[in-house]
Amino acid sequence: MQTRNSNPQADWPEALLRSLLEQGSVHIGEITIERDGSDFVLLGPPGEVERQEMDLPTEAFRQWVRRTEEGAYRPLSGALTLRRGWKRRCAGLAQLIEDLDAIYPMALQHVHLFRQGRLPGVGPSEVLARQGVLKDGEEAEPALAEAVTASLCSRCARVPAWGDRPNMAANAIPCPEPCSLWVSLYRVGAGWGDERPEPAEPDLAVGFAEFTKPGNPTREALLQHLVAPSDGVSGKTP
Amino acid sequence: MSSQKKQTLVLVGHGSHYNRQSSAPVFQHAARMRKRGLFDEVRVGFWKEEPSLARCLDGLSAGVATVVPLFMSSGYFTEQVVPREMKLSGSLTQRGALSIRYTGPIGAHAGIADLIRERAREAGADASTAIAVLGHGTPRNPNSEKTIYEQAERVAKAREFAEVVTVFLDQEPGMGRIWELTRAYHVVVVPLFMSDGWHVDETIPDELGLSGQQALRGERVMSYTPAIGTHPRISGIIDALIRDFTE
Repeated sequence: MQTRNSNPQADWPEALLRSLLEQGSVHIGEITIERDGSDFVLLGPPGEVERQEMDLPTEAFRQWVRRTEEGAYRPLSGALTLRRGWKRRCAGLAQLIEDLDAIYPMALQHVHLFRQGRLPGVGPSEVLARQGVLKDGEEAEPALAEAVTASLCSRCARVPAWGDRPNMAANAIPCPEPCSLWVSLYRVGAGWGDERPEPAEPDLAVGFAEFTKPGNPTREALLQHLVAPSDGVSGKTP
Repeated sequence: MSSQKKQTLVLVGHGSHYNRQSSAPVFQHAARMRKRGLFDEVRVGFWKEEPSLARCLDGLSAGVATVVPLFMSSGYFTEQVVPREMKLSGSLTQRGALSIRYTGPIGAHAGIADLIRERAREAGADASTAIAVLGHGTPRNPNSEKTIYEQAERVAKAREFAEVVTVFLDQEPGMGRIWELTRAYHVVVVPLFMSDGWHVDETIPDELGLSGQQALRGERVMSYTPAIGTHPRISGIIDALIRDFTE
């Protein structure tokens, strides 16, 4: 993420992490951070066997976390599909910051800005209009937007920080606006109109973003939410 | 960077929902730039990945941010998508105490022609070889093809190879015509793409009938190189774009 320097504006990530770590270990998304003297240890979600040491250069580590256990590409960095059962030693805060950014890009900036009240949320209608999905003056279809959020964002460690959402936990990663996958899923749902396809059995072998393919778990969840709307992502534990 | 103001470099690219290789060169070039320590901070931003173009400047409130588009042509993405998503008003945007400089795309820089020649030589090209410069092209923006033709022209002007032709993935002349447009025994296809992603790794080899890095037709041989954007010397072009920036 950052190259450390003497610029005082660059000191906030250290301050933020120090404050989060005051209680000892801290959870960010699916990651746990523990102190070990002046070093830190990043812990992935627990697995069934003893944790494997992940001693890779940062760029190799970034590519490693971008794949699931099965080797599938994770286009959504916050997707709750991080590999399990690993730990990674970070020599100092700078390394920890770089590694966290490799897992959850911009997450620390967004936590920092959200805590300061300086992370304005941009809602679905604005994003869709900006990207030309909606015409001028059009609003996102509320039921569809809510169903897309419920189907996709419930699979993500980031918590929507736009619209009317529940209070954010201190270590939750705020998501300032619908991401490109959200927009893609909305477009698929909007394309169905009133002629929704028949649901299919969720198939984990279908790519995460292949929303037009029957069996894609997020697509199937969207179909389900459109038939029986839920209360969005409010039940999610950040 | 000698200025006391905070200097941030932001490399922006397309990214992909389907292929993780698509963004890999952007991360690699960012890592190279970071290692050199010329900037206080090096960030990345993507259209189809995270961090998004729209949010990759979050938290920057002062200093100078230089945005370099890692795209292979001037066109739809560099002229419409990136400025719109990043709220850029031109080559220089002033946002409070933050100055945002927006350079041209790496693909339009004259130095790319040298990398095309180098890629061709790596694939065994010599004075008897035909080079096919393969660009994406798009009917959406006529400027997109212009950059590709200009690079091919630069390669031709060097007179290092017997023939130089330009073909496209998504417009005419299509890449399926490479055999017909060239006469040399050996044709080297150099994809003017940013990454060895979906197109370079899958759709183009399929359409060209490649087996590994080669295809045969009668007595003739076609060789296929890695994408230009993966070349380590792209960092030098990033340097040049920053150095030569004018409003």
